[in-house]
Amino acid sequence: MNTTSLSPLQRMAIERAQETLAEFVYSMNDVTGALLASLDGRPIVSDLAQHQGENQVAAIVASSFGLGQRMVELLGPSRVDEIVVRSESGLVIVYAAGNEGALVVLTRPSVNLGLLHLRARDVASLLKGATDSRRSFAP
Amino acid sequence: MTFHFDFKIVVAGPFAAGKTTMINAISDDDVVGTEAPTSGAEAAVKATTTVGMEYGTLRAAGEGFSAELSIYGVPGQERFKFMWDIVGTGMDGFFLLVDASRPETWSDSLAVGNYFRQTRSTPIVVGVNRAAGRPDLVDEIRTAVPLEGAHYLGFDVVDRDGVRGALVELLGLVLDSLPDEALEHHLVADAAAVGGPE
Repeated sequence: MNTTSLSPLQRMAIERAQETLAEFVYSMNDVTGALLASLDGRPIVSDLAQHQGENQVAAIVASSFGLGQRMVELLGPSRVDEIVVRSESGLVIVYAAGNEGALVVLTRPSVNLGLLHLRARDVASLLKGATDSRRSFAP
Repeated sequence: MTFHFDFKIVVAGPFAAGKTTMINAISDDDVVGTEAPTSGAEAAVKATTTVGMEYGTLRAAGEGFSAELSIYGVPGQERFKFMWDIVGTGMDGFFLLVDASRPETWSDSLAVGNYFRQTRSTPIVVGVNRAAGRPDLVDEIRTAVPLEGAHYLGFDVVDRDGVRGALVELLGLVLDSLPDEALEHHLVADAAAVGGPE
């Protein structure tokens, strides 16, 4: 994202989030990319393969998260924690990151899902600061 | 003998045109929505935005028929275009919402309208928000957002009767456009499910 309109504190939060995300993708076997999106579908930080547009990914994540939220409400009042989509090509998992963001993780089919959940939930919680700092600025 | 139909209507339009407000104003059942807080420049315009879809219903009856409209709203921002394709599949009528008070959104409105009319040819109503009783504004939108074959009408999305009138107009166009054999596919077997007059 364009960080020129951010305060130094906000920029620092974003930079730290970018490092956290990159370190997570690098250190996890079979994770091919990840992105933190605001719930209205804008990329905040990302570490994706070249061919994936972060704007497009962020929008798809926000729509899915919105529909996932409606799905858990079939159970009664509740907040969605994560959405897991499995396919032959791999998994796409969306984790809630605070109240204003969602972390999407792209993996190969062979990923260790248990380990991924443990790590990704931690990362999502670490990234909260970056989504919360984002609300306060408007160009 | 009364015929009962159901039709799928899609409501689209640019960011902040009033789509969510419109569907909430008219729906006979609780609206299923997907609102998320806005950020950046959009946060200055309004606090929340639709990121997935909305679903509401409207029941209407005429001479010899009753109909239930399933009304789907889609997000306005172009980054959510994939939802337009998903939700637009199988629609019977298209409702484009344009805000008469924000000329800067008119070119986006035209782009949304053209996108839907290129992908499928269904009847179109262009609802001009904030133009109730203002034919001059409706004419202005007819020129600024020209969609061939579309009907233009002025109303206000917070006025239930106005919204209803606009959607009933679209229903009329849908009924006129479908040949009898196509209409049969929209017949509902169980009349009670629609709740129309017997």
